[in-house]
Amino acid sequence: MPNDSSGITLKNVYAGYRGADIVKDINLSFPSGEITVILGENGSGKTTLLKAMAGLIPYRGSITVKGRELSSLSSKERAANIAMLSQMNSAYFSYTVEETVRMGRYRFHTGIFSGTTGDDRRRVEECLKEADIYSIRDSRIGELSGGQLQRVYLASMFAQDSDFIFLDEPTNHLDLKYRARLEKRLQGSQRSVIAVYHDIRAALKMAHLVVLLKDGRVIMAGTPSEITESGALNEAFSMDVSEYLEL
Amino acid sequence: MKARNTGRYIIIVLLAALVLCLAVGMGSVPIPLKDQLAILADRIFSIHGGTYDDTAATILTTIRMPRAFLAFLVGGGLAIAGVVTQSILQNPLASSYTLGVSSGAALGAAIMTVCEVSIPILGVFLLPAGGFAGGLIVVTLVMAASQRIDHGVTSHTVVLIGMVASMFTNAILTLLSVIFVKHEHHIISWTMGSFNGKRWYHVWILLAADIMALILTLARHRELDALSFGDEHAASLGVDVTPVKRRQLIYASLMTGVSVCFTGTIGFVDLIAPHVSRKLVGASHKRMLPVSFLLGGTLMTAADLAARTVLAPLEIPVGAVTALIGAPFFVRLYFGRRK
Repeated sequence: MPNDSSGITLKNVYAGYRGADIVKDINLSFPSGEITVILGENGSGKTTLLKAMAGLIPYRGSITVKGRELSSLSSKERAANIAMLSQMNSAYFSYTVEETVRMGRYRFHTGIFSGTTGDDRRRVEECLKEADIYSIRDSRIGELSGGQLQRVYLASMFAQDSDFIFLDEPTNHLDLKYRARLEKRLQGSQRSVIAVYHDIRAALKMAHLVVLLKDGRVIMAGTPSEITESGALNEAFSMDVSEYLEL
Repeated sequence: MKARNTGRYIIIVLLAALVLCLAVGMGSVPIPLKDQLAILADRIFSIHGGTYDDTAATILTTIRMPRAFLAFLVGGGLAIAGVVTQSILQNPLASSYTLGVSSGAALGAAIMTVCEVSIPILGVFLLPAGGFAGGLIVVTLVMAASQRIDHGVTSHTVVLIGMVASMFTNAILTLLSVIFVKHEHHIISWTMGSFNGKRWYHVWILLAADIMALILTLARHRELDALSFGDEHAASLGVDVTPVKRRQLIYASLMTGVSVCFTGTIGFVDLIAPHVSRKLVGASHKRMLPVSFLLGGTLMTAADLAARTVLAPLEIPVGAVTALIGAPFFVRLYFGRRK
């Protein structure tokens, strides 16, 4: 896989929790402007890999973002490069939909007393409309359905305007209409997307590049056609995926 | 929504003013509002308009006003500490009281007293310093123990360990009161809380601490908002999570330490005020912090008023009054969340 200085490159990366490595010896290059999907069975290390690349958990080895080591970036520089939608975002306190989406603009605030700018307001409004939640912008998030809440978090992530978008199971709770709309939005985006997906068929349809993980290691990375032709999906999921999905 | 919130701000401010007027006016010598105004106009602005009784003036300016204002500032300060603790732990059940910070602060102040430490001029700050250190040590231990036992640091673990820490520090306080008989009364009063016999200098120290805490927390309202969604979410938005959390926990311990060292442990105000504020003006810290301060102050002043008037001439410890309201509130909040 070629090394892309405008993308994200991982060299001998190990990461995990409390001293135990979940992902091991990862060497990958994620080109900019493309959609990469990470596939693998439960516990294969997909979320851990995504969190390590987002700088949310410590790692060993080297992760470079546009040529700079991830650990050397300040928090705001990291947020300018990477926005992440986590799998289990919880709503502990009842913010309004608009307040939650506006939090995505945090990285643009330079001073502690700097207010919300016209740019912030315009961008937040666009994201609210794109996610079809503009009409419920004053509702409290504790009162929303799972699908509505997921759209709020997606809108907040898009409002961050980062170069790389990391998505961990982004279609959770979304119905078919919003799932299709999100996939179309990602395909039309100029941004680099790295997503963990459970829906293999949708992933193969949408991705430029697919990474297969098993037991914390990469077993194959390639284009969707290379992946399906190789039969590596069967190894990654420990079953006959081709027959099940009629690929 | 803005107009609705503005109406609520006005009501909250008027309620705070009303409770303060009642607190300085009610007691064994009633002082009506017109007398209060006449005394203040005369003593502060030298406007000699109305007539009033000199004894009433002395009671108002040397006993009731410092007591009422101190109660207001302690309640407000504890409410700010409660907001910060709840937000950075993403736990509406967390507060200085439930995490053992208050007991730690009382223990810190008690140790200063029994050791009879004295420093010329700066001696007045010894108790607040002891309270701050005690509170900070206990909250650090509670967080470390919670992290060790339960890696997810769930609400229930933190609250349970906090309560254990609180009981443990209270036991040490009781032990100190038995060993150091000379200071027994002082130490016991810390476990129950009282505003009796407080002076203006207590008010000035608390006022400075409250203003500082409000500014320092309001300046970080966006970070507190982001942290309310969890550390990982805040980090992905660009918040420098560990230093921000550490600083905010220090401010919360400082507020609790300074409050508790003068008045003793008074629970539940730091739990009730943030919760009610979120219901009234939403979760955004920019709006919620000042409202929590005002509501915490109002609630504490009202509780102190009840403590000294309901069974007059007997005075109930103010901590008992807040616990009578707060304990059922805590149960409702705890089981409401579990449902």
